[in-house]
Amino acid sequence: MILARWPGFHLVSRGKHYAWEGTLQSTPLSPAYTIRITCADWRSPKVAVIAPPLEPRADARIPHRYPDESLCLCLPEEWTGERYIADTIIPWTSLWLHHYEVWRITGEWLGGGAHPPVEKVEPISEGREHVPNPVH
Amino acid sequence: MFSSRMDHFDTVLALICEELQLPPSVHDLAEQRYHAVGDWLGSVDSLLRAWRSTIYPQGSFRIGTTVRPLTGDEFDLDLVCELDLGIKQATPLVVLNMVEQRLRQHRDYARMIERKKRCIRLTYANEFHLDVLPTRPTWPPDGTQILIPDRELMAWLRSNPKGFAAWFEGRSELFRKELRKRAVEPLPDHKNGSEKTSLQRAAQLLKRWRDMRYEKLADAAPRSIVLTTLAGHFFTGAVSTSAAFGEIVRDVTSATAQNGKPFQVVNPAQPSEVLSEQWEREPQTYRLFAARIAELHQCWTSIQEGGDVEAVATALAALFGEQVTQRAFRRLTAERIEPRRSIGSLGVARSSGTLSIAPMAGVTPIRKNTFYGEE
Repeated sequence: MILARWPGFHLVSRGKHYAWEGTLQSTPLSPAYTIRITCADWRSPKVAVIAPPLEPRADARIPHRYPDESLCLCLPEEWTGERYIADTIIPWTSLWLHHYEVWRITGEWLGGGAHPPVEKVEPISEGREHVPNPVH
Repeated sequence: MFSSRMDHFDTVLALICEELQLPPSVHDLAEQRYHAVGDWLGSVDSLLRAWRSTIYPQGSFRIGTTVRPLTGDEFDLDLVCELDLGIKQATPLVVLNMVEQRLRQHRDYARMIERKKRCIRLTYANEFHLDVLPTRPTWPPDGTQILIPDRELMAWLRSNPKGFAAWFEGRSELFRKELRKRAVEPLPDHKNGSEKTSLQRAAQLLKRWRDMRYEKLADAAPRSIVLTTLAGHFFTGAVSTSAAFGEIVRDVTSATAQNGKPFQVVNPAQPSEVLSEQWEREPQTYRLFAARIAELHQCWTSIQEGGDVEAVATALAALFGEQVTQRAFRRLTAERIEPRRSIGSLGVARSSGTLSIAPMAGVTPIRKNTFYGEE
């Protein structure tokens, strides 16, 4: 499906892990990014940017990426196995790249989004222990 | 979305110009205000009543090339108050005094007034300055020619602000002619007449470059009317703002590259007036301008030739200011791309991976998604 619809993409690995590589240029002034889509199974394809390298800003890390630096393109419930990568992941990646470029220039991520809940840990201030309320 | 690299670039430049110019709502307010000033000056009980005063804008306010001052102060809007004095003998000083006197008779204007060298300034706090220049028609009358006060306020000099505006508008018309040649029907962005021409935008960008480049050496900076005249003179009708700016800067660079006598910029509506006389009086200002415009030409050429969007943004920030550049890029995405995404009209062209309008042949629509992941 991917190869049929996206002429810029080609298969680089098959079998246990399918992987495709291709280039996306979000706008005429954008560079052409080479991205790789890897599928261990149809559950969650991973998208990585191969080149040119993504750069953080001096004051902030690149938003909307997983710890392994693959791109966060959707909420878990927005991806279902039946969806074709060609119709979702690839277009979402082009949009992600555009917002990344604008974030680099302005410091603002204008594409909206959400963040997974972070478990907050209370820092222990000097001289006092954080004592949880007793449970009776 | 954008038909080419140039189209994308021009869109950014248009937004930069919008960030620099008098906003339309403020423009309308300024018109209301100066009409009110005119009504007061010309009213039945005014001491100027006998001279049928008329008031009209001149300069960048008239020709649509306003650029906000570098330091965030109010816009300076130039107005002409024309008093039909006929053959009556009266020095500019006397006329200026009378205009000031009439304005001071108004309780509100009296609080806003400031006497400048040749004009009266009315300050509308947090809005703009209206600078009113008292003038008279020539005698005998000669079209739109007027007489303006000289520096010492003792004699009158010939000038022609309406004529200059008409000349500039005529040069702008080349842009509209070129558009009409190309399109079967008017392009959506230029349908209403209030849309700026590429010449107006090029003039705005040139003045803003001057403000940035000469920030620390304001006395040596070329006058706005010199830059505007150069822009109009070398403009050949390019529809693209970046192309228009580029060819103007290229031609000014060539014209000033010759060693020897400074290139002369004369007022096209008043050919006896040498607008660039500072370059002859102070030749070092001419040499400095020649060097800086050549540097601008080189910079502009390399932006056109290559460099990705970040390099373009960095170059534009250096030329025109970081804040206006960032706001332009922000607005492009927030106003032109994200709204289409919200209504499902954004897609990606399959041949290149480029953001496009959907639905369209060869374009896959972008389905609703929420970017996720760690901050």
